[in-house]
Amino acid sequence: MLEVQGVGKRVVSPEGPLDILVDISFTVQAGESLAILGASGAGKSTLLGILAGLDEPTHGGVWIGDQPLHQLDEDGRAAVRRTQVGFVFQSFNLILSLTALENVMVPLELQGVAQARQRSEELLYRVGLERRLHHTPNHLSGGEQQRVAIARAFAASPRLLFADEPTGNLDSATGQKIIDLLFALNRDQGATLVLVTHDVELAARCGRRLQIEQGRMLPFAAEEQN
Amino acid sequence: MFRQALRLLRREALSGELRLLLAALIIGVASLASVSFYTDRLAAALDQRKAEWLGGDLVVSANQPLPDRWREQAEQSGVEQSSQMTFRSVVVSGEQMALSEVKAVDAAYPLRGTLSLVGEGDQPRVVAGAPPPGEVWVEAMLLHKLGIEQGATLQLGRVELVVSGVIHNEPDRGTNFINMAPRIIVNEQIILASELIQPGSRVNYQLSLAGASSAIAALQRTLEPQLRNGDRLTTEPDRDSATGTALERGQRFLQLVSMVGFVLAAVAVGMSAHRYALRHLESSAIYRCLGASARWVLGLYTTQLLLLGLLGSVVGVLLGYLAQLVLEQLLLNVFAVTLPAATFTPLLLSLLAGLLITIGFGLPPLYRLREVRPVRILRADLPAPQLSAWLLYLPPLLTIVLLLLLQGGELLLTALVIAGVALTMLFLVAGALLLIHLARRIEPRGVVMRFALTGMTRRSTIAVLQIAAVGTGLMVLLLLSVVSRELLQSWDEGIPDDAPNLFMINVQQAQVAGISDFLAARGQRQPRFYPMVRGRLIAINDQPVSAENYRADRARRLVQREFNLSWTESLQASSPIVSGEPWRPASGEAIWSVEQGIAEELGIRLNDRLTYEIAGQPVEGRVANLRLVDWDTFQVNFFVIAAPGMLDPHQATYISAFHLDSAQQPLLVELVRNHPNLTTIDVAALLQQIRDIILQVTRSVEFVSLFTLAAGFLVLFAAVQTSMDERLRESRILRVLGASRREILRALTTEFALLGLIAGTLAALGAWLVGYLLADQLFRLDYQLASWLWLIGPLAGVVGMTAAGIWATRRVVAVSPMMKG
Repeated sequence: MLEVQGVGKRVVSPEGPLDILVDISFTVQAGESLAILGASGAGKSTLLGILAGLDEPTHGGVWIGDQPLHQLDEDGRAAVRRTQVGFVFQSFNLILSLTALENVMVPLELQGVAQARQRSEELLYRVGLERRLHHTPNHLSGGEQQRVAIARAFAASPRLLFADEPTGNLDSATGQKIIDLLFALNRDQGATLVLVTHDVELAARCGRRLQIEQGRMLPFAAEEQN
Repeated sequence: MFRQALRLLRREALSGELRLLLAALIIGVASLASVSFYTDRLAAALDQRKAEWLGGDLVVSANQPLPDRWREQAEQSGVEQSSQMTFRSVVVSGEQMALSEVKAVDAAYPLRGTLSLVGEGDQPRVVAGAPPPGEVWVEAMLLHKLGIEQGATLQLGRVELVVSGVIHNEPDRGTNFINMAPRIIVNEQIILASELIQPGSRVNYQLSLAGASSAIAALQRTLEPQLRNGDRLTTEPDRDSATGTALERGQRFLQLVSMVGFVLAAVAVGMSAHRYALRHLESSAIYRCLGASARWVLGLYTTQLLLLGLLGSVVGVLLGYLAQLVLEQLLLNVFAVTLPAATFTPLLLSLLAGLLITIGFGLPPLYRLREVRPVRILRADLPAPQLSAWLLYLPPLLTIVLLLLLQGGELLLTALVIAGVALTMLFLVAGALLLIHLARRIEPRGVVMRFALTGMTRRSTIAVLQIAAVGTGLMVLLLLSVVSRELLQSWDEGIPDDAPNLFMINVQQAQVAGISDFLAARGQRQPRFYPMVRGRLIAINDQPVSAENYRADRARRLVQREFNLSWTESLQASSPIVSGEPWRPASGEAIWSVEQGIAEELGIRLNDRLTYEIAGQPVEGRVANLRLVDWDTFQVNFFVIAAPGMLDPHQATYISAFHLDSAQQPLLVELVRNHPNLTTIDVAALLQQIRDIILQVTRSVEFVSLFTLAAGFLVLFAAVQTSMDERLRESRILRVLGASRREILRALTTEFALLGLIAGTLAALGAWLVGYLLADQLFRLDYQLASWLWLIGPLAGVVGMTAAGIWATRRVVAVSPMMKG
């Protein structure tokens, strides 16, 4: 489902070239769940950006299915994201001017799905927000906003779901509920999950774990590769 | 701190808000400066050449010959004197004829200023005195009209004159700004032989006097008690005349439009400063953490703002100076005046205005940077410090009032401008709110439409502001470019095809039958001749009438001048009686029939007793009825008509109006050759001139209103900037979710096109409404709904706003989907 080969990211800083990611390679099969672990600044989010086609690697390549992301232009990658990828972010990233329902409808409308409203309403029922359909994000709690984000992530039935520190902005009890919801939905939909976190307990719920330190994969994590 | 401010300014010179703030200042100041420079130069021309335009230091004018003793008294006082006669007459050359303004002068002319003729090789040559008796000096326009050249012969009345010079500059032409007919200058000695002046002819007799101020003052005291009714003695060029009033109104209108542009630009300055302050909350917190005082932080940004204000004002003044050169060209033929160089006053005033809006609109939003707490460095999510509404809105309001006072100088006008702008804004805001409310009910199909609609409905405050700002600019422009032209057209179309196109005046009683027969013998309909006697209204119900009794300019002018009175057995069917009794002059009672409009103007009611003075004799009568007159039919009519027998028939001249096809012009030439004292006025040519002048003034105001439109777009940019962070964020999320750049562009295009459609439609509606009110209430025209306005307005709104909006949000389309943080 997801294949990463020799991915590196180098940026130019005032002090000279700086390697943020160096030679990352791994594969994730369909239906698997993978946790990417690492401390702040380790390069986790940069890696996630490259995996999801939000950013481009300076070395190596990423394939989603048989699509070589690194060979596509931005609009080409957008088309892949639209049809195959879902996201859950630490900071929710909901569109503030849209209601909860409208936020969930966006990916479906981008795909031109006719029953966008009905499907979105079902998903919001599923995440327990049936009474919040017409609230804008500013009128929702953090946990509620993340539920909307999860509903949105699954709306277009993605084959691949990326979650970036999904509980980072939530208290532990709410965080737990959100994670349960995320895994439950993922199980129902049979999607491949790639989760970035620094929380070891959360990582343990994933099938496999990948440790990143200073931009490199650690050997023990690498061993887990198939 | 100053150095730090300068460094910051250099670093941030290209940041969006500062560029916008600078652009707004430049446009606002340029809008103001262009008109200030122009009106200042016009005023300077008036002042500098006052004596020249007047034709002397003291001028006596009358519509009857001046007594010889006044000339003797002037001679005894040791002042120079020159006398002139001016009147309208037709000149003939071959088969062509044209109306001209004849000025007969003596050897002493001109007393002040210089008269110059176009000489050989285009070098003007100065001449003094009158042309030799067999010669005439003419304006180039007359040569053009008659299709002749210098050296040709003209017939003026009974005399033939050779055109020996083309007038380049006539010093005392200035008081009559609008040239209705070309001037010709002749020697006064030919007037008698020309037989042009007959009893009752409209002639202005003028005695110009020049000399030491004490002698002039003494002479003024001597002459004043001797003045007869209708005589005028003046030391100032006539600024109360209709043309003077038109000039004043034209200037006010230009000022008003420039002020609207300035206010809009000021709003853009305020909005940019607001956004600039919000973007600098973090850096202010860092300065505070590093130990800077709140005052220091405020001082830093204030210095930066003031530097920017100074720069913008200077560039704006320069731009304004260039723009007024365009104004001068546009109005060249309207105010036939050579303008002196600009003074420093408009320059300083415009600079001051620029700095005032920098302070009044730019500083209050920055004040919040003073309130930033250093802890913000740890908690960026702290809400921005709030400012009291007083602090935010009072200084701008005071600034505007102050500036309007500086500009207009009149409290009433200032209040009217504020009220007018407020009313327009209120209309646009209310309209925008209503349409946005309606847009909310639309269930969008697809993500593009959803974003376009929510962009507008959820950010409704910003949307309303954008619509109001661009709508104001568009409305002013539509009003000037479309509505004014359509009003002119409606007026043209309202004139019947067979409406009289010629007026014949100064006809003597003895000539009436001859002219009628002449025309009848040549297959023309016999025109009706109306007697005309001139008289001044001296009393209403035995109460003396004077200009001081009236407040309205028109009423004051009316009572100072002589009326054209007529008499008739039966009133024209086209002017129905609206109140009072039927016209029964046979009863023998002395009665008047008064036109309704003038009765209102002068406070005349039914059965009032009006006393007119005609050739020194009072004539009294009762107002028997009020009539409604439609002046647009170009039929001869009169404000006041008497019963036959009341007015002295020996004082009368006759007037007639008739229609003559252009093919029959030779008839007219023959008629004028036989009766040289006749004056014929070509109405079509006159109307064309009026139309040309209106169009030129309109074009100049249009030009100034381009600044208003530009300022409107700056507000749009500023408003877009306010929502920029949110837009960028939304766009980024959409891109993450898989939207292509094209979809984001389509959503933005749809949003701005919708805003433009609303702004354009409201602007068209507003312009139409104003046009309709003007047509209905002021001009009494039938203004049609079907018009280009409904196409041009929305189209201009959509195209303009979409282009500007897409340009302002180009970053939103180009944004990378990679999330920060």
